[in-house]
Amino acid sequence: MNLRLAALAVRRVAPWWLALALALVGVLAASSAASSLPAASALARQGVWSVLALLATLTFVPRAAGLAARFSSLEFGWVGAQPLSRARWFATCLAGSLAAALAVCALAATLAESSARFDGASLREVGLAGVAERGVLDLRESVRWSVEAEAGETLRVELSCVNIEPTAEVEWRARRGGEQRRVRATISRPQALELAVPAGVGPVELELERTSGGALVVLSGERMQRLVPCGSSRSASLALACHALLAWSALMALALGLAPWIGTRLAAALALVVPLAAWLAGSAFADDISPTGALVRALEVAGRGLVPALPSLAEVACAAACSAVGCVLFVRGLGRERGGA
Amino acid sequence: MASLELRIRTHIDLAQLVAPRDLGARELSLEIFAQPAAARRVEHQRDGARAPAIEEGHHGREDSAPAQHLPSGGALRQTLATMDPSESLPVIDVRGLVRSYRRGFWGRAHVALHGLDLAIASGECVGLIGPNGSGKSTLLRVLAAIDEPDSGQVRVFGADPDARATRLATGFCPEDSPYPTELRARDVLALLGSLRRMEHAACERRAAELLERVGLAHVARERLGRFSRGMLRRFCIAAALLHEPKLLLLDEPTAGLDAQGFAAIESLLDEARARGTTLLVSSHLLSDLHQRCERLVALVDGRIVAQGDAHTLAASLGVAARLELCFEGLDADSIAELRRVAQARGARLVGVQPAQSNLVELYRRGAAARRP
Repeated sequence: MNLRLAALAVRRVAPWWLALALALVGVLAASSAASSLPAASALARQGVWSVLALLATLTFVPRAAGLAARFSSLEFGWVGAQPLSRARWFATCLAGSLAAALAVCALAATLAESSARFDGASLREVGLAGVAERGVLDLRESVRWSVEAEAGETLRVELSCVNIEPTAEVEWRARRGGEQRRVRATISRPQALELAVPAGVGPVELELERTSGGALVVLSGERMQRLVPCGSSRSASLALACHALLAWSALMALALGLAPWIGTRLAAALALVVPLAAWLAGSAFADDISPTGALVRALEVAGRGLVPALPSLAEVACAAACSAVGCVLFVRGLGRERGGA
Repeated sequence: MASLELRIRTHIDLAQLVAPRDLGARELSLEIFAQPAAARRVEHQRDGARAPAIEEGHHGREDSAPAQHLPSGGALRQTLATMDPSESLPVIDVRGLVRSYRRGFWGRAHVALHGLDLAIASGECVGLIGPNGSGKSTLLRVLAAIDEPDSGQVRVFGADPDARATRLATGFCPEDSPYPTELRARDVLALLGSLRRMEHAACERRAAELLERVGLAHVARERLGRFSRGMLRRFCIAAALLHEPKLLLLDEPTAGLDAQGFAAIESLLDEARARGTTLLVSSHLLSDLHQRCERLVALVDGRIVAQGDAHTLAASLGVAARLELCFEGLDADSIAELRRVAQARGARLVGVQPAQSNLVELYRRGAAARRP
């Protein structure tokens, strides 16, 4: 990789005013976060990361597209004559763009953690598991399903209710071998139930039952979380940074690849429309295949006071696939006019 | 009267050469300096020796030419390293080159080069002349691997121009500066040096030397965006010479240059030639080329219409009807006398103006006088 070319990419992708904007966000976040309660800290962390992620995405992606478009047209007179291969040129540009993104991540983590005063123990997400297909519970009805989970983990499910009456009582049971755990709760608003996984081997049998009350209980979402204890809630920023870097690498790679073909604006718009469409679709599958789906989920998880899971293999594969597509488009599109009529 | 230097300027109307197409006002101004040194001509061996054929270096470009085994990678580097400039190995070998562009909203194809054949031997200096839009820049861009040919065969140092070793051995100065305007001059040269794997210290030394030579040392820390057109031209030539290429492709190198810049570039090109660098220089002004180039190639509408040294070119075109005689050291009386003589013979003295080379010489002397 050519460091000077990467430095040029950093310079073009990260504008000077982005540093000013980040500093402003930092000042605002620091001045508004006075509480050291876990929930307030989690919301402060989520707020800072959300603003910076949005700002950086809307900055980096169009500027990465502009970088490729310039190399492909205005500056192809010197770019095309260099002995560096197109693929390496792409890799260097992407690495430079990611270096800029990494700097923003470091700054975002610093700002977020300085505004989140609580640094006690928390729970870290290690994975997701499916929930029962039928997610609406009437009186004396229960839903059953099973999941694979390790002893020591905690399962977390999101519930909400349709308030025909103010509340409803629910009981959630987990059984494995002879071991059984249960938790009871009164549901009156959207809230989460957490249940420790029983010891033993094999799948965990789960049963959720509405035991009393008039409200209709609804299982929110398509998945539940598997959690393990975590020493400090501050590691949430590390996980968020990893998700952000992967998301930006995918989007910037697409922008770099598309720009030589359709120009800066269209390339940036197209690259940004992919995650927007996935977000609007709102399904777990759309989140899985969207480059930014995991980042959005991680932000939600962080807002609940949990530490998001580190990027999964699927997320890494998605970013790698986007990078590969971007690379192919870039290699074939750079200096496209040179191909002649 | 002071010593006389006779210069003959011939105007060639290129419309005569491409009949029946109407070229309108396209006119090529051709100056022929009647100096013995400029009259020499390097015999060109069109079908001369070629670089050795190596199986592994085959490049699969689709063109109408038969498949060739081209050297590349280590073999090509070895070829370049051992190449003797005095050999008549064709550094550039172009056969049947066709290149077209799409123009306008509907993408109508415009053919810029029509089946061009050209061969240039090692160490040769060739000038490309022709009016605007004749295909000079296109040819240079194809040779620099910036453009790809539609069809035909292009070989530089016996290999595809796209080959890495070929690019490393080639220096290209485009018509307009394409370099990043937000970077400082020395940073751009450092970037180019690093892309060509030059050693950092050597690159810095060479960059400083070149910037000094082209008169840009005092603005080495300035951004290119602040450079004037002439300064950018000088910078482009410095950039093309940075890695001491064996082949130098210069597109309108003197456009926008003042006499001082012209002198600086001239001296750099002289040094490059002394190192055995092969030069291909394009210009629509023959005054840029006639002294330096052993061979001139006239391009009109993407076709070579004539080639040879300046005298041969004029003779082959048969266009000696209009002449300009330029004298040095004539006073006003002598000029009036010349005018009378011309009138007496039924001719007309078109104009009297100082030659540009006088200004160049003036700057040179001034610079020499300033040196300690």
